[in-house]
Amino acid sequence: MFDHRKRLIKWVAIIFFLFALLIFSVFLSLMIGVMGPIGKGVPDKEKIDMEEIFHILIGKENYPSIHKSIILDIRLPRILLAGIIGAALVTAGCAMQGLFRNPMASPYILGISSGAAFGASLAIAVGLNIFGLNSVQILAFSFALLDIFVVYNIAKYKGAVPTANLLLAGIAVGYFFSALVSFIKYIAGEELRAIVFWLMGGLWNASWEKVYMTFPLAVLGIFILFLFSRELNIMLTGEISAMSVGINAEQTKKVILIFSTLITAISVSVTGIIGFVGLIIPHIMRLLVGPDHRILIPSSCLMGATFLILTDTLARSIIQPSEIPVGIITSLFGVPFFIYLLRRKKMVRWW
Amino acid sequence: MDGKKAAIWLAIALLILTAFGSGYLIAHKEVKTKAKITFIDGIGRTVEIHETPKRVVSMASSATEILYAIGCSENIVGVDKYSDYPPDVKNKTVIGSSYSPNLEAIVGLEPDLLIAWWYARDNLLPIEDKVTVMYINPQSVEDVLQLIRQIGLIMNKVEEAEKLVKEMQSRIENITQITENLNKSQRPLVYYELSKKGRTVGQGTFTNELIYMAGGINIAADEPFRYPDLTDEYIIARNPDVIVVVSYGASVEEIKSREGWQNINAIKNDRVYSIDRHLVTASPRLVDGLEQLAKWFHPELFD
Repeated sequence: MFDHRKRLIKWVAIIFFLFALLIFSVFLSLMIGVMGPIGKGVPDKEKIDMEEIFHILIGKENYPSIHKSIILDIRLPRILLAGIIGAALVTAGCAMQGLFRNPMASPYILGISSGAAFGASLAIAVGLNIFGLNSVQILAFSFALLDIFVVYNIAKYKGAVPTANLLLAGIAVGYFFSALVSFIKYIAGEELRAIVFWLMGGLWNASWEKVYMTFPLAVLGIFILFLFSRELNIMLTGEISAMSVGINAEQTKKVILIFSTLITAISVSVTGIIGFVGLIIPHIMRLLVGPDHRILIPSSCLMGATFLILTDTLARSIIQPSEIPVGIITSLFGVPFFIYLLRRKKMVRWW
Repeated sequence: MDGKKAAIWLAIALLILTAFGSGYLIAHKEVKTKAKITFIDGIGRTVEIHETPKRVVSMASSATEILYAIGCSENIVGVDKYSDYPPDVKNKTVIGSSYSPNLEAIVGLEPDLLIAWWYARDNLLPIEDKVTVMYINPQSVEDVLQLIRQIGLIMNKVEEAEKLVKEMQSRIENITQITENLNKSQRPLVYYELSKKGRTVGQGTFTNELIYMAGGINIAADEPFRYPDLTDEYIIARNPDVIVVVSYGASVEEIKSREGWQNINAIKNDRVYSIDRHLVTASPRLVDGLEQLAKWFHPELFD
């Protein structure tokens, strides 16, 4: 009983610390930008200083509307979107790794990214415009869901869905969509570079609309996956033992799949394929807080948000005013840290 | 498990609500005031200009060149990183590229007008309500002339624009009035190489049009893709009379030394040329490119 309480206190402390870190990173990122206190600025125009940023944030009116636009309509949604996407990808990664009992699993393992990439490339190449909405996003999201639907049905065998089948079907369908993407890249003209940039992923076109579209679904998806953390813990020991403690393995698997797919699909469709985050952050957190999903999921989620916010801030500020795709930064900074943790722990108890 | 089920249903309900909600948000935002100029841009949007723009950000090299050519260089406050002509452009603030623009820098420059390639739209959607954006999509020589007129009208430089168009037209006519009378056997077969061996220009490209206007026949003119990859075999079999390679691609020497290419007419007769990539884009300098190509295709007619 005492141990139990000690663990709970430790968990609360971890969450509290990570939450503080997240808040700090949001404020830090709000300060950074071309027009910010730590920025290059543009000719003939005044930069926005720290005090002004705080005043704008708390709603004081007496500032140029352009400055308010920059802070409230460009920087803030971008930071929030980075946070949501980071949290969603990492949580989906956690769930996939748990579900497949495979350290190589990432949110993209079932080919969602390839499906989304195909949808996006198609929209970019054809220049589709549906209902005046951002067709790239809509097609990317639809094809991500189509991918998972096809994969799931291929893998289904006598009412059950063995994870090995899922993995193989995911790889196959993923390759198929990749081939289609290559074909579109081949027949595309000037759009080619736009497709390549989309594939690299990034947050430069963040907006409040994207935040509104992503937020509810991502938060609910994350929350539901968190509710299933006990099931995920038991699934780790194998589906048969899961059944012996009264868990309907198939049902659970389905729910976890659906929600990790949904939050991955919405993330990919909004930002393109941001690699690495969903694969490595869960591992880093597993090394830091242990493999129990009840703490792993919330802490990874917070860490994922912080990590993507900070790396995106780097991406938009290293070579101002140009930007580097955030995927490059996430890998460049994340991998050394991961290797350091891996070496320090030597023997890793993953599950 | 019941609580979870409820949560899942709640999630699905919210998902549907969000979808409709955000659709509604996007569909319902428009502001109406009286405009000085109203025009349709390259992707069919209606753009309203209230006053002659004083601060312009150009994210399309083509527009940058046009603005310089009609005397609006002073009004350019920002350019994309691919705008590099005329040389004075390097004094302008760079705001990234069409593929990853720095929105903060663009808005921070407080432009009255932002000109961008049509494919930059996905990245510029978030600031369309803060900055007047004009997308351009010139696909032919005629489109470029139209674009010059349009920019001239917007920038209140109608005369300058018209003068530039007239000058370009007369130079183009000098070439086409000779080349349009050439029959098929008088036109050299041309292979035009882009970034790598075999990559060329097909139907619906600007360069394809220029090659024909300059009195040549593009060996890939009938290819269904705009930028097809031809095989070695096909290029050798077509036996082009002239090979033109764009300046960012292979060198003339490299092409001449390619295995199996020695028997191609262009190589036997030493008619392999490298063209400055700036001369074959949708800018006022396309006339220079056209003249250059014509000289290479028909040295006897144009020297």
